[in-house]
Amino acid sequence: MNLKEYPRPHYAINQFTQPHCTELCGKKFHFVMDNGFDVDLDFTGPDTVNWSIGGSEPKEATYECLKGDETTYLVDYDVRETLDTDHRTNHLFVIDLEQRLVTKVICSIGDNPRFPYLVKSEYDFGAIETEGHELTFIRHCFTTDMVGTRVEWHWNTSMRTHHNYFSAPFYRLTWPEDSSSEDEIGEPFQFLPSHDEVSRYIKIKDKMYLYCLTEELQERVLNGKCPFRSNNMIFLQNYERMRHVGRTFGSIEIKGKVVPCRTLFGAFGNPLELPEKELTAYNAFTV
Amino acid sequence: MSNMVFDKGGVYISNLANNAEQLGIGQYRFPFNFELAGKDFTIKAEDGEYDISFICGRELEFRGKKYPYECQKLEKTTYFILFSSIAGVVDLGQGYITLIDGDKYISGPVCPCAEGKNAPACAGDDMVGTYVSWILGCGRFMTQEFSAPGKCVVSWSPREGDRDELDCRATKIKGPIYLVDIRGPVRTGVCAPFFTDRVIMLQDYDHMMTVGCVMGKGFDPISVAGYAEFLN
Repeated sequence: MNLKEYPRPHYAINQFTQPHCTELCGKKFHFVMDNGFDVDLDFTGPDTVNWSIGGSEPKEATYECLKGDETTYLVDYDVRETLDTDHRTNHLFVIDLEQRLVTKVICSIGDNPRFPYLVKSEYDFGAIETEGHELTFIRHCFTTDMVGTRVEWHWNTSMRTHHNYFSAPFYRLTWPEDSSSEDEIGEPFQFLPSHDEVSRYIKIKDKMYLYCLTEELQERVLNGKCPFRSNNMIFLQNYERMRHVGRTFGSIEIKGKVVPCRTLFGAFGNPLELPEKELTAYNAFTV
Repeated sequence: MSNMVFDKGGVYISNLANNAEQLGIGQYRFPFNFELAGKDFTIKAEDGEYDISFICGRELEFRGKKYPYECQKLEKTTYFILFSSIAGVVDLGQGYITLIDGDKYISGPVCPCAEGKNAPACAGDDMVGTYVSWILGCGRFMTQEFSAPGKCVVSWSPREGDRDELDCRATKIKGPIYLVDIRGPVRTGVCAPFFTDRVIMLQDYDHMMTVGCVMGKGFDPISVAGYAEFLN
């Protein structure tokens, strides 16, 4: 049998996802956060965690965990109490055991009365309290290190995209003609003035970055003209090995109903030469 | 740290993207996985029992001797392990462990949960007709065409046009996951080390990813991982 014909499900960005990691099971963390609201995470099972922020009563959630390298974990969970509501919330952490540092991203939907599906993201940095070690003053941090980086990401056996991290607040998304990207994610771009979107860049360590993308401009301009609503995608990118892992949090319209859009993803990268017209194209969203 | 490139606009800009040539065919290797730490198993193989204890995330004990090991997780309950020159699959879902030690295959159940589950078995002609390229790094890949049971036509980049038919033993672990063991030399000037004589890969034909190792004389086995593209 040609295993090409194996009856696999349809994959878009989630075919090359690495499996959920359960190594943190049984571990407890206290994160000392810069905003003063410390976080406690107690990984009670292979996919359950008790969380508490600012000393609040612990609540249980179902978490996902992917590894960026041997000691760096991307952990996220939806706040159970917000599921099936118009105000869904997701907590995401980069737990960096090598440097004893943490980055926290809280994403929420339903804060903007004009664009109820828009994802709002709040970032904070902190240190992991570790017995026998003083708390460090260094932090993961916002960075411009990635500006100028261009990568071709391979998401599945037929889909590739081109990421051009061309400025600190934006990135540009294109794809080669022979990629299935046009079919998978191309629809909104037929209606958008340019292929740019809102981004944040965070340095985790040498050659490792957290790239945060929110489909905000798309939602503001299209506001329901295509199935994709605002999605927040967070990529833990390893530039030593040229691969990333990540997750989405947002909404999508299916059969007239807007439902949660959540998936884990992963991709393998290659350096990229972009044509002049893509490098110099005008970002239509800026003055 | 970033490599600086001279941009067409006439200014130096940073670009973190790189070919990771220093990592060779090991570039896309997954982060090592430590979930087996603390677990002990007895493999009930046909020719006897074999004890394996994962002392921690980096060290195991096999038949009374300690070894450093590497583990890559391919699927929810399926791990590829490599220690000394022994490679294998720990399948906690089915309750089986399969180890390849030279010419010998050690395979058997490791827990009562294996009862009633399918044991790893010869893949027969399951894979015949499959023709894929496993991309292990930027521009570094191995093509595999399963031409007949026990045979695989392979090539390595950048000499992908120079194909050789090699002996291949494929074991079905479960579902679309196969353990592929290809033996034979490589040509000069390819991305694999010159003295490579064996490639062992755990291949997932659902997610189209692989983890495994490349072995040969004169170098330590290299852990690899990557993704597939179909060639037919």
